[in-house]
Amino acid sequence: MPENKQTALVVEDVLTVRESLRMALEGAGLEVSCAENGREALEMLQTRSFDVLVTDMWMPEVDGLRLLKEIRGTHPEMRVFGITGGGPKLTIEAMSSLAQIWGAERVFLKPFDDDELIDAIQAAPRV
Amino acid sequence: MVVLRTLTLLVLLVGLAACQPAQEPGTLFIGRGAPTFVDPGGSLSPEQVVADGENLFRPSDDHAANAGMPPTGDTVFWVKLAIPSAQELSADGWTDDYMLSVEEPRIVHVDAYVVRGRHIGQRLTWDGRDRASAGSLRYPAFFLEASEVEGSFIYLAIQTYGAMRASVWLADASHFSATYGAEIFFLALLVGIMTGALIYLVALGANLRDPTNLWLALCLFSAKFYILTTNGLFETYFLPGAITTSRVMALASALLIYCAFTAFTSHFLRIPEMMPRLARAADAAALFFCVLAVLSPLEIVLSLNVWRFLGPLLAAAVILFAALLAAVSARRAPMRSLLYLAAWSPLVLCVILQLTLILLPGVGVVPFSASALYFSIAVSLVSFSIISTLDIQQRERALQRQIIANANRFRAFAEIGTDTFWEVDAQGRITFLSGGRIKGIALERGGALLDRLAEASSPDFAAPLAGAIEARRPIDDRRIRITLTDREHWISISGRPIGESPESDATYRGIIKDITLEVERESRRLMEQQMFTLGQMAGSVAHEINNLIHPIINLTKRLRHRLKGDAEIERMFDLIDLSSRQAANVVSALLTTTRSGEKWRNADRPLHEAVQYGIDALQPAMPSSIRIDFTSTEVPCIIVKAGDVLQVLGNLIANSVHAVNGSGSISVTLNPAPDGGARLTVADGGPGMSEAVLRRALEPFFTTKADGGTGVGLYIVQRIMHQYGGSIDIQSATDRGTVVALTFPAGEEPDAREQANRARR
Amino acid sequence: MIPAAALASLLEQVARRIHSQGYASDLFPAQWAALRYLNGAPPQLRTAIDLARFQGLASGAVARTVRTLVTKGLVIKVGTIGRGRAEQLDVTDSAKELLATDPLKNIAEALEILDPRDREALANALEIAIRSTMPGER
Repeated sequence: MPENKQTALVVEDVLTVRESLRMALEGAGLEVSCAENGREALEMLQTRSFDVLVTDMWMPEVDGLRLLKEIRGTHPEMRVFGITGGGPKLTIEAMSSLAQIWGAERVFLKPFDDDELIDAIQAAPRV
Repeated sequence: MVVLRTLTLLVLLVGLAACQPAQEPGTLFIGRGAPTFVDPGGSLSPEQVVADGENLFRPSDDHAANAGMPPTGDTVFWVKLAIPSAQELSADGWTDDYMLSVEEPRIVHVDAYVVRGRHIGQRLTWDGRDRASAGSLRYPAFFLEASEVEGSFIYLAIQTYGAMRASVWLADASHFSATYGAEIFFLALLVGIMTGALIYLVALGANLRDPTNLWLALCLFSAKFYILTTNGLFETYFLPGAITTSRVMALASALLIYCAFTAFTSHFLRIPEMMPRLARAADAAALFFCVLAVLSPLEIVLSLNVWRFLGPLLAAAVILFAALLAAVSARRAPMRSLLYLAAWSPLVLCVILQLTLILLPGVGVVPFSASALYFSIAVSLVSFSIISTLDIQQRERALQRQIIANANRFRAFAEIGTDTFWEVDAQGRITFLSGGRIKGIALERGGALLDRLAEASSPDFAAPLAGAIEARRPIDDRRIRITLTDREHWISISGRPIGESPESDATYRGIIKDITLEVERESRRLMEQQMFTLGQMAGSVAHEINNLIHPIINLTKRLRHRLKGDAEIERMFDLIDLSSRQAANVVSALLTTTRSGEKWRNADRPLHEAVQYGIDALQPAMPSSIRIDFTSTEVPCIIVKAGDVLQVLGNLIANSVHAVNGSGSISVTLNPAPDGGARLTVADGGPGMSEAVLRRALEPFFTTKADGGTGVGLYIVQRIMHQYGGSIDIQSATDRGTVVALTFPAGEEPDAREQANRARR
Repeated sequence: MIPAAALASLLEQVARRIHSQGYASDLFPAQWAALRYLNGAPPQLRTAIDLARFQGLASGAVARTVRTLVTKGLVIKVGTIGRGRAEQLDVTDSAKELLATDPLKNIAEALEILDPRDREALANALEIAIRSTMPGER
């Protein structure tokens, strides 16, 4: 039932993480697109929408937080999940709070279990 | 002051000389009261004069007659003289015949007639233009036989360019020649002295490029010519008969005197420095007189006859101007002004006297020796020469004082700083030493600089300096560590070779600076930079590693699902999983350690807690091949900054890790020290340090790490320990490992600190 | 313009008030933060080391906090995760009771009245504020 397939956009600058996430989400039956950074993701989101957005928070150029702010209000149906391994200038705690403020349902700390992310995606969205 | 006294004495002498009545035995001034008259056209014959004598001659007053008519050259000035009786004279001791002299060097021609009753007897002539026949005398003189003139009158018909004064003397002939000789000797002496002074001043002024001296030299030069020409010396001895030349020169030299005098006055009184505009006026006046001097021959050649009126006016103007300058200068430099007036006073007195005589025709002639004027000119000018010499001496002294003051100033500047300035001779002995003292080095003149430096630091430091000094190479900011008991000092040495100099046998000079604070600041900055870079790097590394671990864990999990069933494969996956998670833990520990933040670093903690904390923080960052064994016993409560202990441990443990080549165990112990403090040791079983390395171990920027250690590690540890009043002790030998022992002294009032700490929590 | 210094002061007062409300339960701010984390984090991340990483704190300090919470009976150790070194933690029932009275909740309720624009403004403001407290920021 391809028309029922959920679509997901994975934004992650590290190739290995990106690919492993793609495999995991495809394994869970999602149709997955990938972007290497926030800028690429923004371009893709201008032409189409996704059911789910999974984005790294610390990225070069346009980072996750900036991406979230840019698409605020433009994709009301899209669910957003943040992933992060930590980075400079903010604690993970602060980054998580900010990601949630700017639209992420949850932030996963790398290394996390991909199944948890899939569980979260498949669970009913929090209101 | 000596100058002033000398001058006063001179003035007195001149005054005495001028006022001295010239009535010596054998000499008689017979011009006094003699009847005179002036024949303006010179047309009267002696016979007419003798015949009409009663009407022509006017009795003059008690002074020498002064007709006050313009001397044109044709004018004849008649004087009728009575000859005293021989009996009277011989009673006064006269023995010889007489000499009748008219002491006026400007006289051109004199005819003398011996008149008895109405009969003209002997006729005598003296002509200035023909000196040889006139007996080569400076002024007219006639030999009279005593018997011939007894009871007769002498009529003199005088043609002169000078004053028409009856300066007539009668002298015993033998006495006259003695007096005349003395006069010539006196004048020659004056001229000689002036020439000497002139040469001296010219040499001095030219050498020093000093306008005052040069103007004074010009004064002397023109005064000398003035004396030569107005005294008849010139036309008598130098160029016999050259009366016109002499007159021209006399006038020109008078004007030159005004010129030089004005300029000299201005410079002597320092007017150019004090009032530039007045000085310019003085220069203009000098120029004006100089031009007049050039034009002066016209006066004589064209017989303009203006000098007779203009001369005194100009003289008065010059004197007034000089007085004005002296007055102006008196306000700012009273001593100088006074000195000036004192030096001129002999001349001023004489000039005033002479001017009075010229300007007031009725006064007549006092028996006044013209020599006094010349003498006073010479005295004044020579006084100025002396003053100039003293001036120069004074200037030299002032210069010397200034140099000394400057030297003192620079020494004072040097002593404000901590820098030491030194010079050494070829043997390396200190020949000059100035500035602040450097702590820990006993430098003294005559001591060997390098030996002292070697004693205070080590021969390793001093040797390259010796090489540079010997090879006369510059030394730039060479740093040397001075070992002191209380704390360490750093100095910096810079130096340059000195070129050959006759004044000193120093061959090399330099500066020693105390740069302890600078070195401390530098290493602190380096350290902070190091910590900052480390923190930043750790942050980004952690991020990268977490990113890398994530796929390992998740892909392992997926593979595990696919390859279920084989126990050995399961075990392999377990290990991969475990390893990844441990890697993740190491990263997060590293991240938090380096990002721990200033507030934690500055937190006061008891030593044992801080050490425990430091070990906790460092442990995760260690390679797994390194084991840190920490043992401790109860130690006194010493409050430390947790960050300091972390830094100390971090540096020591990093050194140990390096020493054991990244694999082995490091033992850290914390025990009480004998004196109530605590002793923290970090020991490794590495190859230890050679003696040479050990000696330099605490030196900043010294490193044995080939891959580029910063060399500040142990130095930082040492510095931190100094802050706590503690000490660092390194026990090491080749192949015997290294033990670094840090001793923390007992804390002051631990209870109070404890309480403060608790309150803060 | 509202003075920035006054805003900063107010923010500090809010933080202080939250802290002092927290002290009422005999807990320091760090202990509260640890409880909140351990209560909300996925089970495998409920370790001292993950907490330290999350908050960007030194592991030693966090370990002490956790030890204190264990002593107070608010946190229990529930064994190690897998065969790794980290000890998994969990909050106790009494901790859950305590968290029910979390002073943050009152603030959150109070902030409910903010309309979306005000919330966005507050979010922006707080982001700027928290960034300014981070090391390396200035």
